[in-house]
Amino acid sequence: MADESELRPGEMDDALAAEYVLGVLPHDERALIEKRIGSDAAFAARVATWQAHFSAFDPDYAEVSPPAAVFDRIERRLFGAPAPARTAFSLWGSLAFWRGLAAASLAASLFIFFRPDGAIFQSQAPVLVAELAATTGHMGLVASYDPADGEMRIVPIAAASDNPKSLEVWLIAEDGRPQSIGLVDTADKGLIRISDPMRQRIHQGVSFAVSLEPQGGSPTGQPTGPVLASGTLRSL
Amino acid sequence: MAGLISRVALGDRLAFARLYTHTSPKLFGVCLRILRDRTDAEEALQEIYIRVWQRAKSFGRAAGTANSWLVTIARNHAIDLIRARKRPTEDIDDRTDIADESVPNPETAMAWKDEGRRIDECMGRLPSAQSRAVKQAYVEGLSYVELAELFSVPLSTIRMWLRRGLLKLRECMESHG
Repeated sequence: MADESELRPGEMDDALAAEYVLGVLPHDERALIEKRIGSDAAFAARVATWQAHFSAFDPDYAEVSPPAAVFDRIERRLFGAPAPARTAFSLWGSLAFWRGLAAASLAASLFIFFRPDGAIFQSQAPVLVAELAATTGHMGLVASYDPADGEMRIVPIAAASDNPKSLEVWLIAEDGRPQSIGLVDTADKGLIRISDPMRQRIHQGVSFAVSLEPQGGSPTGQPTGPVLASGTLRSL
Repeated sequence: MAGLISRVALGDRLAFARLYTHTSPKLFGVCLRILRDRTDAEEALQEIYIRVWQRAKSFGRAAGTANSWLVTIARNHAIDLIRARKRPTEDIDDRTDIADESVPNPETAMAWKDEGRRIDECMGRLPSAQSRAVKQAYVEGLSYVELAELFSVPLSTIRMWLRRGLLKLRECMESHG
């Protein structure tokens, strides 16, 4: 529509990239450009440059809190409804219960509260709990730690069982360095006995991660496999 | 913020929830400003965060900061939606309502201001109508058709005029290194 004869090819591409980033082009032209971004790296770089320039205008957008229900819908679309309990193991049932409840508020959806025997927790005993959200969508884990006897339990929510690898649990301290807590022994209900020196380091706010390691644990002392899950410890 | 996105790329749902808490007011603001309709903006916001979850792995390869990466995803989606519509309904009253409801948040407002402002100087060298058109197009997602109406000139004229401004802008930005 414009007289494009006066533009050199480089200028032409640059103008197009700028127009795309501004958003002034009609729908069909935008679609063509999006295709080109995927196949033409030099053109994609021009687009990225304009994006970086114009992002200086981003402070012009006022912040408006969206209704809480929007995040619930996002989670439901990405992760589906809470998994129904498929076992007599009481903890799993209560977990599903809490997960369902958690849909009501963002804060509650981050943490679940239960006692290792599956009863709803009534405070008093300082049991610390972390939900280790699964990163692959195939499984999730719940860790509970009782400072009184130094016992940590890792319980799979939906274990992918036929895997010859080990799940290794890491404590992520404030400095961000992972330290191995131990391997998840699925035969022993996920019990990990925490060593005395390590007990000192487990308190509210520290994070845990679970990585997939060769059978028997990481050969290097640091996570080598993918991090399957991570979570932060909170007091009940 | 970049750390959160890296954790989201690993599939960390808690990090995703935290990222949403910190950034959704900004991205919702983008949707409202461009789409000018609350229901559409809520729908768009859902779609945007689904993309954020799916594309978090590509963040490391993208240029720019975490904030601009997120706003780019939001703007692109909102503009695609509004261009796919036949015609946006202009309603001045709605837009005033939206502005009144905006929540000032000093903590996050600071975070959105850390982008370089070098472009301001170059924008200042453009004729004021041209720089106004560029900024309004970006922030409000105006189309060439809307700009032509706004400036009461034919479509082909507005495109040529804006392109000249954009190329001048590029020249200025490049000369600053």
